[in-house]
Amino acid sequence: MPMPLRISRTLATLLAVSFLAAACAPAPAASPTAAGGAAQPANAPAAGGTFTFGVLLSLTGPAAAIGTVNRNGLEMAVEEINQQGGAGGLKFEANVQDHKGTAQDGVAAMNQLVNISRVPAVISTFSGPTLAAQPIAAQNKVVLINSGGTDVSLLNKPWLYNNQVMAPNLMPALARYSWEQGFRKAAALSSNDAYGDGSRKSFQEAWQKLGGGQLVADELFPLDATDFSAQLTKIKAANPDVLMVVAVGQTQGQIIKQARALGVTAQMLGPLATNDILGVGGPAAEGFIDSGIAVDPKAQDPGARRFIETYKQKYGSDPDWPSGTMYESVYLLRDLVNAVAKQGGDPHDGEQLLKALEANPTLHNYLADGNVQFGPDHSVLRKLALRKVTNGAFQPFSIVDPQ
Amino acid sequence: MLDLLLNLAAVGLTVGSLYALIAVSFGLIFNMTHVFHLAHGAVFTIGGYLVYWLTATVNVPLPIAVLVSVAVAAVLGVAIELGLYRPLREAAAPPMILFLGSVGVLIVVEGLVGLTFGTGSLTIAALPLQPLTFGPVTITTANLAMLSGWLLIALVVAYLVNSRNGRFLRAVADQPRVAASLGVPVRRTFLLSFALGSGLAVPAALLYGWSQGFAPTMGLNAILIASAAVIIGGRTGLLPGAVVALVLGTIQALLVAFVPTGWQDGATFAILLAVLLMRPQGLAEYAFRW
Repeated sequence: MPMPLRISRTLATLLAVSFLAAACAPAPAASPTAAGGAAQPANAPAAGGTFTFGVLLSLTGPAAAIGTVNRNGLEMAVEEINQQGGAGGLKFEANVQDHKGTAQDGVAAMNQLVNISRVPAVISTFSGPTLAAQPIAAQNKVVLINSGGTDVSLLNKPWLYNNQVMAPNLMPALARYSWEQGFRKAAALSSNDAYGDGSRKSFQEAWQKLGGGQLVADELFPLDATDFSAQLTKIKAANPDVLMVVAVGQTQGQIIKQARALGVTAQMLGPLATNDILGVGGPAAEGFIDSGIAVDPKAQDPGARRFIETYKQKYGSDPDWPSGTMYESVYLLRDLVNAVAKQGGDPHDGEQLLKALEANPTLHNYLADGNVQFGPDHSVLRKLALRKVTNGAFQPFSIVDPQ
Repeated sequence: MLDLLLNLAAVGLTVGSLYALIAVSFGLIFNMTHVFHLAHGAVFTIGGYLVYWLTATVNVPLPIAVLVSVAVAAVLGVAIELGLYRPLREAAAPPMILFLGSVGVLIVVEGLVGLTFGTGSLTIAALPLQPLTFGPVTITTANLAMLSGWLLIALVVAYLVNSRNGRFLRAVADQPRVAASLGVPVRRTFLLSFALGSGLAVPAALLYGWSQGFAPTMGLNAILIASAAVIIGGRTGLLPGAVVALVLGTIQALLVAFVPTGWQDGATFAILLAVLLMRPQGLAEYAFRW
């Protein structure tokens, strides 16, 4: 009889599809009350005296290299803190999840951390994933520390503090530099996400204020694009003096490379470049200018000295901001855990960690001298470095105050 | 404006030629065996990375690296047919199961390539990306090289039309049962189509990597556009798919002049949807057979 066979085939297909769907789907968002109410209270202290916190990084995808650098800072801080005996009698442990640079995967990873691992605090990177993680953090009373995203929509959000200089403070430095160099026709090529959009708007505003008026070209590309020839052709036709490239990691390098290959001669610059652009961009990266939180090699602060020197020993290169702000954010958590434990509280309770942060909204500066203060909008203002790629390496040529 | 359109057309026609080559390599397998061979993206990725590895790490001259990679890719394609699709087909698995198996191969290979070579984008030093100017038009060296795709496509079509095995391939694509009853060795012909299509993926991957860098996700990107072109082109031939791919690439580039660039992909696929709605059977009836 053919019928049962057909049914079993259909069943097999359905089973396979549902299995695949289950494997791909984000972790089920178990209701906190249902899961935590009866068996054990949410954020109960883990056995063995461990403080487990969550970390959202870009471990795969086009910005994976930034995730690697973030991870260097993370591992260094956790190792050091545990060597010093942990905090509040607890050993530090990071539960690292991959957000792949996208909001969608950020939500899945955040749900995993909050609903399955029940961490009381999460350090995140990137604008899109952090923005997507914030409502989950607020709902579940988890302290969220953004250690990378620059989009202005991350400001003034409950439970979210930003150890990053935001786009409106980051982009004017590049705009002003370009203006002072006598460039008047500016173009922008930006990723079509929170980071790209926020940065490009901030640049445009700063450019208008300087008297530059409109951008001669203002192009976007999808986050996962690898071919920019059409956009760059359009930009080239507008003949700009300066091209702002807002993209993460190696994508920025690809754009620079393809731009030069299509005969774009404009001075290129962009925020928050990483060493990725040197490898991918090769000779085309020469002369590229970026802005980001300054790591001051001449810092006198003993903590900063230790970070800069240990990093160099351990990883063989000078630290840049993605490792630095991550390192600082882990130490911020240590200070919060210490503060809560000192008052006899429970560091596994996100609410108590937040209270400690609100009581003392500062952060030790491990990248330069002087503490860093969170403003009322939950962001920091700190010195920026302008760097230029010279002979295949980033050379800081100006340290400026953000505006 | 005219200059811009000329430049965009040049970019579109060259990138479209690359799409056409990928579409023909995918169509060689899809049109013959009717497997939605998403794992072709895996073969594409491995082929590209193999050329990279042979030239960058082993210091093999580029032409030899390409030949070796073509052979390896062909074997890989045949291995996927023998190890995955054929057992499933013989167990009477529905096409959806073959498709799922194919998705699995693509995802696993993407992960393995990322683990081995890192997720960063790699470039072959022997293939410099330089500007080339022809009057008002500037394209890259990689763009120019993409035009060579048509030479390879012509060779494939000539083989299909003139050789005995080529006739077998066309017969199997057209009417597998009739072909089998007339004595065409269907199983062997399937293997041939996997070998040919997979081998052809290597030059395509090389051109792709030359212009955009080699990344573990390159296979999925390439296969999405190629499979769309082949489906729209219809099942009766390879050239319709190639032409659709060329048109698709050109539209994608020219759209930049008229719609904000962030919506380029959305606009391209909106046109695809409209075509599909108007001609669900594909465009091929209007076109030539091979």
